[in-house]
Amino acid sequence: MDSKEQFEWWQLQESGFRSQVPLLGRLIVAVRTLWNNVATRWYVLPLLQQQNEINHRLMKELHLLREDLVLAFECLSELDDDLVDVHRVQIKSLYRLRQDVDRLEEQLKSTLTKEGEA
Amino acid sequence: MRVACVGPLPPLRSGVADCTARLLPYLQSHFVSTRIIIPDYDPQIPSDVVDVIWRLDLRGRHWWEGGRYLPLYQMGNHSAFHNYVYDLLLQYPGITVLHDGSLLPFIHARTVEAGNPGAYVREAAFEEGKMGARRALDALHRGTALDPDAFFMLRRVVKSSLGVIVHSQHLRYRVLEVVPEAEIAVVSLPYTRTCPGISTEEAKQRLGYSAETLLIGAFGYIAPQKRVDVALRAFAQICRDWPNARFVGVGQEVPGYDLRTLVAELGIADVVDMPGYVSREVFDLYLMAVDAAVNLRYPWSGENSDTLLHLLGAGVPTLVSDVGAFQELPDEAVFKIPIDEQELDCVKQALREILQKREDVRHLSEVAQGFVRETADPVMVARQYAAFMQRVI
Repeated sequence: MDSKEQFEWWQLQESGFRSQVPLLGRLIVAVRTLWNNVATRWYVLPLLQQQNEINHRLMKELHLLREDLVLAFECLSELDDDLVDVHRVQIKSLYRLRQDVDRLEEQLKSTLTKEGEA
Repeated sequence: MRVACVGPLPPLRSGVADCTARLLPYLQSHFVSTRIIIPDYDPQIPSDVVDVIWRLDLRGRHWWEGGRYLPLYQMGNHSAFHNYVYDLLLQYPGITVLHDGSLLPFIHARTVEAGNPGAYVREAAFEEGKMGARRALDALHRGTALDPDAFFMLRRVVKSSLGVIVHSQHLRYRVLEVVPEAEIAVVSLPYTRTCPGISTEEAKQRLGYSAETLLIGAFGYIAPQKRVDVALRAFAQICRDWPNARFVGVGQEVPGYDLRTLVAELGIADVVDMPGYVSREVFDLYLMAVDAAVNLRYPWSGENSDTLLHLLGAGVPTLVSDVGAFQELPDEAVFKIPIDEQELDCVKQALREILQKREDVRHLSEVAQGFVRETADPVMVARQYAAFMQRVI
């Protein structure tokens, strides 16, 4: 496995120095590494670790938030489901009532016609 | 009962529009009043097949009239044609004729593509609960689509409808998997003969071919799932044996599906015609003119083929994919092509059989025409619609 793959995308990593300068490149890298070891490494490494811990916590929080979001969507879908059912049943009753009204209107019309004829 | 038909109609270029227009004259006699509800265009239908053409862009009384009209929705996957149908069917539940077995592309178009990814997750959650929400969030995060085989996105439409009409047993099973308590009926697409009563030879001559030409056709939208590339590869391998054979692809090519390059690569440019989108009259002439048709479909997403119905009705020997609703056709009516690695060979073999033994495949045409007469008679289809609507209400 590539060493980079062992790290998550949110983890900061210490990286070595590189130089493109011909001939002197290796010397430049060696001097920079030496200076880093003496002057900055022991200061930066704990900061790096601290930032990684923060990132890790943030990732955990994001993960929890995402799970909360999933749960919220699940609740919403259950409410949606009930709403759709209630709406459908109501509308179905309305159609039935409408049909009954139509039938009664027809009956009334024919009764009035008969009475008129009588 | 009064009915309000909601769905696309000609001149919109859609199989659903054509089917609805064919059915309207036969529905009328079953209802006290029939009206159609359309957004903002003038439909090309005879004026006497409905009582009212109701345009949604005009202000005034509401088309639904507080439930006096039972809506009959024609729902498909084409977002431009069916967006208003979807909106109305959620608001005013009625009977839904479901023309596609997956509304995933439709839902994607009206949510993610419209800049509302949250609505996409909500729909996925409505379809598959917590797992649906999680998968949709993952898909959005990665910029990918949901798995079309796992998310049909039918649940909201089916649950919102008082009843659902589908055109195949395969789709019926799929709908019942999604909503087991759904009221559902299987009714065929309606078929009325639109082809002129002329011979194959005369149709060929009217299209500029000689009467001796052996014509193989592919019809409708030319898209990857229609597998016209397979038909062309098969044709390329057999056309040397029939110097008078030609292939014609009649229909609009979807953007990005470049068959002309394939035709050139196969060295058959001189025997392949791609007239593109043609008028209904010319389309029917081609239907009459062909000696065989290739109407493959894979992957299959639950739809039926209106073009196939016309091919069978016209008695054209036709190759179909052995998948989904096409499996429900009688074995004696069509050539069923497997969807595995044998596909190309089987297409080749079927085309050879048709071209070699044109007299022998006549029985196939008769069975096909008999099947269409029995199942797709528009009088019967309209009666089945009306009976189902009465039963559900």
